[in-house]
Order: sequence, then structure tokens, then C-alpha cells
Amino acid sequence: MKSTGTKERLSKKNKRLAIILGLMACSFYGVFVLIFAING
Amino acid sequence: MGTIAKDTHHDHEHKPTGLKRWFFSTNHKDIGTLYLIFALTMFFVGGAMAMVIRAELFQPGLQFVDPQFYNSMVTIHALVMIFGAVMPAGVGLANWMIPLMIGAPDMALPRMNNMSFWILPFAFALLLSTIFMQGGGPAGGWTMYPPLVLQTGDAFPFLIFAVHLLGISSIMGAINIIATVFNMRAPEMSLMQMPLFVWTWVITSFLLIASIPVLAGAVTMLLTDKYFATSFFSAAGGGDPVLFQHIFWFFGHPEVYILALPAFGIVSSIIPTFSRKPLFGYASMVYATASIAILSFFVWAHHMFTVGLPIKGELFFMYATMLIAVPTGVKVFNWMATMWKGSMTFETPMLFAVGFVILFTIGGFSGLMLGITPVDFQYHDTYFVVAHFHYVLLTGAVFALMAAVYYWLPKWTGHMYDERLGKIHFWLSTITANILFFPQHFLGLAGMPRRIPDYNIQFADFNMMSSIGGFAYGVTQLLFVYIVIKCALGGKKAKAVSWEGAKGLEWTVPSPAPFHTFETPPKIKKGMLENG
Repeated sequence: MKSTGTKERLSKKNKRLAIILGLMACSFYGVFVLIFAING
Repeated sequence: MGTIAKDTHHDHEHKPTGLKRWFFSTNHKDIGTLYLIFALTMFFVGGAMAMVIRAELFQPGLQFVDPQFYNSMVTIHALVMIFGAVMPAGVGLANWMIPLMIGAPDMALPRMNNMSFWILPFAFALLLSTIFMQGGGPAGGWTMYPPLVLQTGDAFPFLIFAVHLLGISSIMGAINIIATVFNMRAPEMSLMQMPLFVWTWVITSFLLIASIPVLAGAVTMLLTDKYFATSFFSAAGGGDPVLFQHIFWFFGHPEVYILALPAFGIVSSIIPTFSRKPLFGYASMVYATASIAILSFFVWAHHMFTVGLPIKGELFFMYATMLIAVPTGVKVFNWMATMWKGSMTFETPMLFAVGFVILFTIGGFSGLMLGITPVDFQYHDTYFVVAHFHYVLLTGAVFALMAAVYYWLPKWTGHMYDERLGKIHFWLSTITANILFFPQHFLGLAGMPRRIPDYNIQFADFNMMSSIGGFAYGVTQLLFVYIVIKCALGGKKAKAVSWEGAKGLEWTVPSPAPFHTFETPPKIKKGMLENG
């Protein structure tokens, strides 16, 4: 069984990675639509 | 051993009961089960639509449905099968097996995992409700090309919103898988020791994160073109309908590998087990998978050779497409080399895996034919294309998913399935799927266009043959449901190592796998991961 501290650290690490990957996905979407919107 | 949680402070079989267990579940095994049940349900919903299509095409002339409804069946069948059956089935397997394979106690973000799943029923309720709306369901094909798709009636915003929801669900699932594999892996397991199934899912997850937002962008632009007076794809307003095709296929081709790569991972797990040999060329398999994923972003225009691309562009996309055959060939070679001189036995998972290798390769070869620019001018939008992608997706991806279910069913249920019925299911599926799809190559070569409810009398015989194969394949899948339910309810007790040649962390836990596993990171013993 992991200690609470280790669990919390892991949970933070997971959330941080999830946010980075989520932002990546959002930026693909945002940049993409924006480029075409500006061109249009 | 000593790998399952042995914690005196917790009752490890304690689990919520009733509906709460399923609605609020954060357990990877329960969510995996939900995904798999949902995918199977959608497989039959999409299958019922396929039956309508094949019934209409049984004979020339209009028999049962009007052309508008026929086209909406074609469109929704594809969307349901891709986004509702094959993708969720893959994610279900990933949910169930990745934590078990890498020695993690659960997925990294369990609540997000719950949300990823529960978005799906709402998305499909939106999509399927369109069939009953004014103007009918979307009928412009799953590719949603403008200007045709913009003629959709009330169903249009529902279609677009459903696609967005499906995308959000897929991206959340992908993020979860990446976080689980990178952060939750057993400390002693290096990336290059992970089972190939895990590798293929990591790579698939990156493909999802990079490609799904592009689809979302494209359909948002469709929405604004229809309701907010933009002209992204409208020639009248200075836009370009072909631009949509470029954007769509920039998503669409990686999507093909989103469906196929997990299938490669499944087969790479099963073949070593039943050949009783480690996977041949593990590292080359990882690099080949990554190469396929990277190359998939540079081949999109092979879906649109006939729109009038510049000749240099056509050449580039033709050669890039040919290049994908190299890493795919590496994979097929490695699977054969794994079987070479192995002590092979042919239980149902192995039969489906070998069936996959042979039939997926047929789909791969017809894909290569379609990738040759001048040849594609003849085949484009004919039944040859329909035959090609059904070999890739049905006898490819779906066969691999069936193989996976048979392979891991003992681990999930604690019982062995009925082997005799499993083999009957395999042989009937293989024979009927070939009767269904092989004649479609000839129909396409003879010039029968896809997405039409009626056809010239010269195509009658092959269409009748194909329809008979289709009905028989559909009925055969009821046998699969029977086998799975029978196995879930009882049968011969499964051992922890359910297959003689099985290796890997998932086989170190009892069958059925306890509700909580690997709360203490497992020790990796020598040889435990050698199957790859």
C-alpha cells in the first residue's frame, strides 16, 4: 500500500500530465480553427 | 506472485452494489466492462443497419426503403461501427488490461475515466435520434462532405454535437491511457519491457490527441457555415469544399490506425502465447508501430486523388502511402516469424488472430492498389473501396477484438468459454465474412458505385451472394453473445494462467481478477515479460 504522501504526489503528477495533454488537444483545435478563420 | 493487493486494512472484494456500482464507477475493470457491453450493443445496432443495406441490395430495384433512408443507414452504420463499436471496444480492452499488464492499481484518472464512458450513451442517443427527425438522419456519408451534408435537415446540429461529444470522450480516454502508462507503471518495468498491446495503445492515444481536434475543428466550421453565415467550404462565399476533404482526411487517415493499431497489439499478445515462443522482433514491432502512426499524418490525400490535385502532390501521397507498407510488412513478417517452429495450438483466440493476419493482409493489399494514383481513378467510390475497408475493419479490427475477448474472457469471468462453440463461431464468421465482402471486389472492379440503393442488373449475382453472406454473418454473431453470456454465468473454472503459453503480469492475478489489484507494485520476475 502506498503512503498518502506518495499517493498525493502521484495524483498531482497525473493531473499535471492530463492538463498538458488536454491543452495540447485544445490548442490543436483552437489554432486550427483560428488559422482558417483568419484566412477566411 | 505476491502481486495482488494483500492489504489487511481493506476488504479487496468490497465493491459498490446495484446501479450505483455502474453509474459512479471509478474502477478500471467495471468501466472496461461497461465499454465492452456498450460496444457490443452498438455492434448490433450498426449491424442491424447493415442488414437493412444488404436487404435493399439483395436484388436490383428499390425493395424495402426509400433512397434517403438508405443513405442515412449507410451514414449512421459507419458512424456507429467506427465510433460506437470498434473504438469503445478497444478502449474497453485498454481499461481492463493496461493496468493489469503494467502492474498499476487503476487508471491514472479514474473519475475522468467514468466521464469518458458515460458521455458515449448520450452522444449516441443524440445521433440515433436523428433517424426519427424531420428530414431524416444524416445521409451524406460518414465523411460529411459539404455541400451535400449541409442539406441535412433538423438532424444536422445533432450530428455535429454528437461528433464533438464522441471526440471529447476519446480525447479524455487517450489522456488517461498516456498518464496511466507513463506515471503508474510498475517501477521495475521499463518502456521497452511493456507488452506490445500497451505500446500500441500509447501510440494510438497520441494519434487520438493529435487528430480528433482536427475533426472537431472541421465539423465546427461546417456548423458555422450552415448557421452562422461563414463560407469556409462554400464556393459561393469564396470558400472551398475541397478544403473540408483535406481537413477531414488529415483526421481520417490517422483514424484508420486508431482502429487498427490496438488490433495489432492484441494479435501481438495472442500469437506468442499460442506459439509458445516470445514475440519475434519486439523492438522492431514498437518502432514499426510508431512509424505507421507518424506516416499516417502524411498520406491523407490518397483518399481524394480524384478531386484534381497537382500531379506532384499525387505522386507525393502515392509514394508516402506505399511507404506505410514497409512497417506494416515488418509486423506481418514478425507475426509469421513468431509462429515459425513454435509449438502452435489453435484455440479460438489463436484462430481469430491467424484469421486476422491473413484477412487483414488481404485488406492491406487492396489498400495498396487503391494507393496507386492512376489505378485509384478506376476504383474510387466503387464497391472495391467498400470491400477494402471492410477487410481492414471487420476481418481486421473486429476479428482482433473477438480474439481479445476469447483470450481474456477467462481472466474477466473466472470461467473458460465453450471451446467447441468458439471454434464454430470462428469458422462461420470467417466463411460468411468472405462471402459477404470478397464479391464486392468484383463488383467494384466492374464499376458498381458505393452508396446507391439500386444498381444495374449486371451486378445482381454478386450482390445477392454478398447479402446472403451478410445475413449469415449477422446471425453468427448471436452465437458470440451466447458464448460470452454462457461463460459469464458459469463453466469450467479458469486458472490464474488460463493459457499454457501465457506470460505477463495480467496472468499473475487470480481468475476472475479481483476488484482491486496491484495496490502494491509487483516484482517483475525473469522471463515474466518475455512474450512481448
